[in-house]
Amino acid sequence: MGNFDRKIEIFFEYMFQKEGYNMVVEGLWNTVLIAVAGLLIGILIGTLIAAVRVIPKYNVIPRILNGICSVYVSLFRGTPIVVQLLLFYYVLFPLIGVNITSVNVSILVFGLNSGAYISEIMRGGILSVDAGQMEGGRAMGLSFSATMMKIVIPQAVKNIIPTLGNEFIALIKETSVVSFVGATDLYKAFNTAGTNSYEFMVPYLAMALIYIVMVLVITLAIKLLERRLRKGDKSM
Amino acid sequence: MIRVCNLCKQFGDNVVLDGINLEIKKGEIVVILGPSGSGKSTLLRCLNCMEDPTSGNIFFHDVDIADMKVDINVHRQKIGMVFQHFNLFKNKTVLQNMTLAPVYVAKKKCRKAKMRKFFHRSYNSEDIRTLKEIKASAEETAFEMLDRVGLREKADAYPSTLSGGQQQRVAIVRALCMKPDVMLFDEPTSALDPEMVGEVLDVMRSLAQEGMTMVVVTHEMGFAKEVASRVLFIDEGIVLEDGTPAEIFDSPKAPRLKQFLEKILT
Repeated sequence: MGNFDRKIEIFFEYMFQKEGYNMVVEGLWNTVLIAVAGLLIGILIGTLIAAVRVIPKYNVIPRILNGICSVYVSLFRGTPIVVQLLLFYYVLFPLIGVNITSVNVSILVFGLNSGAYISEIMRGGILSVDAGQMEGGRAMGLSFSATMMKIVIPQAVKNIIPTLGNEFIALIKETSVVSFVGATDLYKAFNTAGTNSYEFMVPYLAMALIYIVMVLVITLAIKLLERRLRKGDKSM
Repeated sequence: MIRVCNLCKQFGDNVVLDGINLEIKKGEIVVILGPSGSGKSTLLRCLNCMEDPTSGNIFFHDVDIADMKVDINVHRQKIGMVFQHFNLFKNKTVLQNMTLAPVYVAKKKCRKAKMRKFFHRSYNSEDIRTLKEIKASAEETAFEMLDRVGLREKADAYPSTLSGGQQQRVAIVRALCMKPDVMLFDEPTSALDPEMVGEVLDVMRSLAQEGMTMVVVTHEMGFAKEVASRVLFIDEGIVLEDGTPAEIFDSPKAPRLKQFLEKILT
């Protein structure tokens, strides 16, 4: 293993003496930023789409909205996220003449993409809430949207927290493709470290370790969150 | 108070209500009887448009609420409804369950009044209140109501921790918090353990004595005989018989009703 010791030495030398850690910090920050911001945008979009898709379809307007939403979902679920990134960064934004950084494009695309997935998760969550809850609200004279926001969605969210956590974990790992549009993420940082020090083994191992630690932290956070929400269920 | 004209309701090809005509006056306690699948629950649910009628009109205070253009939410605030499965909001405490809708309505009224004030139009100055005042008055009413069913100490409990009978009593007073003109009961005791039926019927009885207009779908014949001012017998989507409890139970005319009573009372 003498060889491996040397590799570790090279890695630490590159990281700390040649200040390679700067890029890793930046990459880690971007990875977390893209995943968290993407998830938040995704939850917002997903909840909205899910709410639209469960509106009873008697009238024309809900039908049109529903059509738009299902096209959106099939578009974003039907193409790989790399393709979406490339299309947004190299086609859409240049076409409309907007200058945007690759990190911001990544946040946007990950938000839009996870919105499509979360909408289905959320729709499942809403459908899992007893229909009587909606009836109870409507019978008291609350509007559909008020009942949705105050009664149904809070209960749906509690039901889907584990699945949502899954989505977040998938998201944080998927961010490793943002280097396709030149954003510095964890993968890019360690890949650069490997390229510059002519030694890939240790940087890639370190990268895997950081991903695993992040996912473990998220798993723990979800567990705690879930426990807290369930507690509110049964208190007193 | 409620007038139903030629009400029809179909689910697909299945005709559930076939031309119902009905008038419910203020203070009446109408019990609707009928075999299962006769359409009695559907009729009740049509009265506040929880089911949209296929055709026909439902007049509540002389407004046709079956008309899709009418803002049904405003009218539903004055029609209380109690369900077989309580339908208390599981993510809210008992107190929150009871104040949610009154606060929501008061806030809406307040916003509207402020708008009218802004545009120098006439408005009801009582409608403009702070959120704190709105909440306080809603809670005051809620506690009064909880006192009347003896559940004040359960105000901060979640519905899942209450027994069925307690949940249904909360559901009844939750509807009362809106100060409704009429209360609809959709088999309020069918999902309860037998020992809890009494406590719920007691609440309904006292409500009846106060002169609340009530429409009740139930299988509790004792309650119907004792409390109802009028009994309807429905079968296959039409009103077969309509009369006082004495007329219905002691001298039934329709053969179908005779058959029904024989089965139930033996």
